[in-house]
Amino acid sequence: MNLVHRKENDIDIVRLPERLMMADAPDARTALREIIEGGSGKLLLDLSHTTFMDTSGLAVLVSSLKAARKKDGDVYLANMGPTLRAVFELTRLHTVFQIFDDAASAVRSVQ
Amino acid sequence: MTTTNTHFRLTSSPAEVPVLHVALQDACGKAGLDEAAAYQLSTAVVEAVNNCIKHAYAEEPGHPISLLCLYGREEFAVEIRDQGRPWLAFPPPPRVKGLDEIGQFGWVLIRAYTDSQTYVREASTNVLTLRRRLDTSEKAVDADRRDEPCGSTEPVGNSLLPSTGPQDLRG
Repeated sequence: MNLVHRKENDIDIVRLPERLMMADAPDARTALREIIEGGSGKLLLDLSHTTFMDTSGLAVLVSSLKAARKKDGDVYLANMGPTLRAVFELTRLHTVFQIFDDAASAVRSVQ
Repeated sequence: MTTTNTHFRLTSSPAEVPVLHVALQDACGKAGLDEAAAYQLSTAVVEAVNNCIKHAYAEEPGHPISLLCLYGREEFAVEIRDQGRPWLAFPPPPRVKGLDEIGQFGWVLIRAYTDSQTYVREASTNVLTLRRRLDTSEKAVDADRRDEPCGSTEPVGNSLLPSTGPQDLRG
């Protein structure tokens, strides 16, 4: 699994892989939690490369959100494609996460 | 009506599911589903297989899961078999009340992305059949469907043909 991590000011920005499925969920959960614990708690997940996420992947995002909010931070989502957006709407997770069209607008809003 | 079937075999290892996902999308394409419909149906099947691994086999690797895909002009059906613990019932519709209560999203997607779901226990085998009509390639997926009654436990009809040439996905 390939997570690409960079920082912009106090925001951790992580680009998720093309697929986030059950097989990768434990490693992804651990990696994102470590980033949250080591940072400000503000985590921006870039979904520009992510075309498929099963509910294990969704659970990783929810787990990250819980960890971030414990640090008074949050998890922001950007560059979500229409098929993934439909999954978030069906599961109502679009009401739980802050979702932005792109990473730049997310960073502007969070800072 | 001509019916084509494709048979996949894998074990209860999460690492084998991404390979299945790709193979399913290919099978959906051959059946004439458009990209969106293929995405939705393969998502539903992946969730069902994840349930086999997580719940029927309690995440214990090495147990068999088989899928028989049957498609003609009218529908695409996927019969998923495992030999794990039997189901007690279809899960109830989930509610998102708070972060600690989030769950059972797999069934939200299965129900939204397929037209019918039937479950039967045959001897020591769980048999879940998911069906999607092909005349509604742009299946209306309404978030309100989350709250509809889900599926049935009536036996699956005897429409499934014998499989030919199982595709072994076991890694």
